[in-house]
Amino acid sequence: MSLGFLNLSMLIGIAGAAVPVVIHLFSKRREQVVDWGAMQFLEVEERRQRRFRFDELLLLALRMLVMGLVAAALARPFLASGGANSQASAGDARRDVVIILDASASMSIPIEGRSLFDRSIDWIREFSAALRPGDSLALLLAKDRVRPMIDPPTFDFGRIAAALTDLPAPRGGCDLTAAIVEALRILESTNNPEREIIILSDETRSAWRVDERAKWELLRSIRGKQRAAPRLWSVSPSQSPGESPASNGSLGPLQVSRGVIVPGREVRISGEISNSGSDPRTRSIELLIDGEVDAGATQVVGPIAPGGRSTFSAATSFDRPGDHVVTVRFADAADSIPSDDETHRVVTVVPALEVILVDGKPSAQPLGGELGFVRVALAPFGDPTRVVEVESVDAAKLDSAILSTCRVVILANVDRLGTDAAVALESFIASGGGAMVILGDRVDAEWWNESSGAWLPAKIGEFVKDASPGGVVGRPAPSSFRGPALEALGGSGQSPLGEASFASKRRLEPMPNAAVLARLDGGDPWIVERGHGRGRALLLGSGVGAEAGTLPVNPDFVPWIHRLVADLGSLDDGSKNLRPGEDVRFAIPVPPPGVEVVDVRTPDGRVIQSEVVRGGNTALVSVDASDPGVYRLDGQGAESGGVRYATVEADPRESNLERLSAADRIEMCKDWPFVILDSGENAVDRILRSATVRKHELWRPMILSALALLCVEIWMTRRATVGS
Amino acid sequence: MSGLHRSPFKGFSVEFAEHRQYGPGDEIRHIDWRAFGKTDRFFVKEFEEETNLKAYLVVDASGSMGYAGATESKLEQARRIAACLAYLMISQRDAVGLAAFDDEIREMIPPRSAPRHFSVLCGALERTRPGGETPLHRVIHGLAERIDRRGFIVILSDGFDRLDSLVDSLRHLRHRRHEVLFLQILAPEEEEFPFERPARFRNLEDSASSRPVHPRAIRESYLRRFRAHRSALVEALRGMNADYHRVSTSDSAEKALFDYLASRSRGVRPRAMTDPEFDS
Repeated sequence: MSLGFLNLSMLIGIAGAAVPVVIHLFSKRREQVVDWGAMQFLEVEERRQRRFRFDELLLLALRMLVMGLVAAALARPFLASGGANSQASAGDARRDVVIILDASASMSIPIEGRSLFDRSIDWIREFSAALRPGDSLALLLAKDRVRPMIDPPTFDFGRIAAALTDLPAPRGGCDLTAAIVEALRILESTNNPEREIIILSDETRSAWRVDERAKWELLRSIRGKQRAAPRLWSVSPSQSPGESPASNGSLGPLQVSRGVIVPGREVRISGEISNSGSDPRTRSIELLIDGEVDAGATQVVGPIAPGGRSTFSAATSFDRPGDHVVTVRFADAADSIPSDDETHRVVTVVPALEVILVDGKPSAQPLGGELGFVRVALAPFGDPTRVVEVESVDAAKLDSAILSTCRVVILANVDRLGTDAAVALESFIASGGGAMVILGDRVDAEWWNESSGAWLPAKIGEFVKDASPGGVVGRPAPSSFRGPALEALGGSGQSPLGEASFASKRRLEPMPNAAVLARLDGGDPWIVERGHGRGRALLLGSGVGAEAGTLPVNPDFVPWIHRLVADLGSLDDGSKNLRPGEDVRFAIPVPPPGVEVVDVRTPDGRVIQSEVVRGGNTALVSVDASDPGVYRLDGQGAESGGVRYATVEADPRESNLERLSAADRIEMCKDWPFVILDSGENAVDRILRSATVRKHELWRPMILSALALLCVEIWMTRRATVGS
Repeated sequence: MSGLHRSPFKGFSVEFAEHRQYGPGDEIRHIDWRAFGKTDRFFVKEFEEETNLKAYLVVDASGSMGYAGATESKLEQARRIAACLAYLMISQRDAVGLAAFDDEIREMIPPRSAPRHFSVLCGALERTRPGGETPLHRVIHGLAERIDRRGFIVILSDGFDRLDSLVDSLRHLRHRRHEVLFLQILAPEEEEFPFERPARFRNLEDSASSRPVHPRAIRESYLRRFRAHRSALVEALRGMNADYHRVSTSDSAEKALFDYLASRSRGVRPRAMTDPEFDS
């Protein structure tokens, strides 16, 4: 039998027992002194005097005892008896329980007519009904992000019942380890001596993150440091957890062929189909643009072997600028997990990509100067479908007003900029613009290094030139190409860009936070990229004019420059197509005063109100995106009818329905009180009858004792003051 | 040489009282020869002796008399009353002396009736300061031994002494045939003990001695002891035919004296003895 405390910190209050002593000493120091003559009548017999002193000391001790008892009672002491994992009665000890309900897509699989999710809800109702007054219960939904439904724990089980009636349907993935961390955090601040974490799950392996050993060690460590460490129970509310479903296909994230999409230009949408079922399966898929089926894009894929994958691709185009949501879904019958039968991507269509060209060595000749070829490559004369609009600007006239009209600026062989232009360029990049700086013989390296150090991807070195006819100082090395813009043009095989040659180059010394996207065959950096603020900058070590080499006449020159420019001016900054667990944020124009919330439609069809956080020029709407799918915000901006979209990818791991193996279970339950119950039957009784130790709380008798002592103290004080 | 007080001792003086038949032992010079001529018998003339009252004001200046409380100190009240009595008696051509004491007799001024003697007494009273422990009974014994001629002894004291010793000393005075008036000077706090909060009571006669006192706890016991002491003192004084009067420091000196003189001229018992407090 041992003594423990639930609120150990309250034991500090025992120091309050010193208060009566301090008051006693203080009052003694401030004792009133009366000069008195009739001392002979004050004399009391020694016995009475001794009793007086004894009563005084007894009163002092009583007061100290009362203070100490109250402080000790507030510390919630308990007497613990019995052994670990005793199945005896838990005594009168109350318990705090956190239930983690797996709300991932796999919980929607029906077993004998009812889904595991619904069975779990029934089990929670049964469990909460069996709890006693004084027990507390919290409820967490485990999804890609943990969603607290009841937190902090409530003693009102009616709230639990109400919350259970309003749960969203299971969707997306689930990280149970993250939910356990949250449950441990909740139980850190509760007070009952018995604590339980109950996880209701279908025991899919991916949800438990079994292979992430570090996470499990972290869980054990967090629990080990807790004052009253909880027990963990995994309960499968179905008597038969079921085998892997015979049919389940899933669609992976969508890819879009163009970084910049303009109205009327064809765009290719591609993606991956997985078959995690046990039988080969042929699937029919269809493409939807903004919810409307594109009849011409429907296709059949397969058969796909069990555990196999296949790809699909479809072409489409958009007729107006703005946000559009592209959806690919299975057109045939739904399978075991309907929620991974569709995938979405938001694309932003712009009228055109505006590019400003600043040529440091301009020429009146066609294709002359540093950017003559670039201009023609980006915006061919007479092409009505061109996606890039270019405008040439003299370096001396470059300012913030001009930069505000474009998304990308290309500066070629510019010796230096004016002070205002340099500041405007840095501000342009920081606010999300893309800048490409192409070096040449005129470049004042010292000026660029000093004035543009904040964003320049590399330190500009010496100018190297082979003046001999046909002299070559380097060629692009396609095998070194990195990044989404260049990877497709590189690779280990033959690439036309590898045939290009440069007659001159600048040596580059990349900054620490810059990335080399391409190198020359000699190993020198050729294209270096660096992010700055919300924008990016590219630095090219060689020129792109006719004098600089053969790059402009290379067959891949046009796609090369298009890809670089499109990548720099890409409107898809990742804020609209999110990975599981990321927050959806809509940047919207500042709404009129008084508008504090806006309606956002979530993937499950609900409309939630999200708070508007006002900034300087824009306002931000944040949405807790715990479900995968499309989030839609209406009435913002004129483009696309004022509709804004964002998508959250489904966790592909959720489509893998592999169950926990016996080895997994042993590993999970090792070294801590984690019990996996295969059946929900009798689980309630077993959990409620369990107690690591039998605990008897002592605060009630201590408070009663303190009250009794207080009464004695009052009586003794009265006797001493009024006189016997 | 002619005081206003009638002497209780008959003798031969200037004021004729009566004739008495001559007897052996009478001096021949006291024979009234004129009466012999008329009656042929020897008579001697007796005269009523008019003597000056020799009064001694005995002022207790022990530490306990320094207690003041909310009023003037008891010693201050004693000095005022002593000065008033001295003035009255000297005005009546009575001789007044003074004995002031604390641990021992500090001032001993023999009785005089000269008017300027009043200032001598006042000077001595002014010099009197409270201090020391009260050996009241010992001082009274000493006075009884030192004052040969019987007189009127006025004791101004709080009477805080062992009762039996004090009564013995007062009997000693009476034994020496002194007329005794005991003016007990008391402060209202001493009579009522109105204290509420616990305090440390420091002995005025011994500053090193003090005791913590919870007034509520001991009030009843204190008042019982205090009243018993006073009651016994009054009874003892009455038993030895001495006079007693209680004076409170809350009263003015003239009121205290007026009360005393009024009760004396009425010939009633001292007020204190009819005080209903004594019945409790």
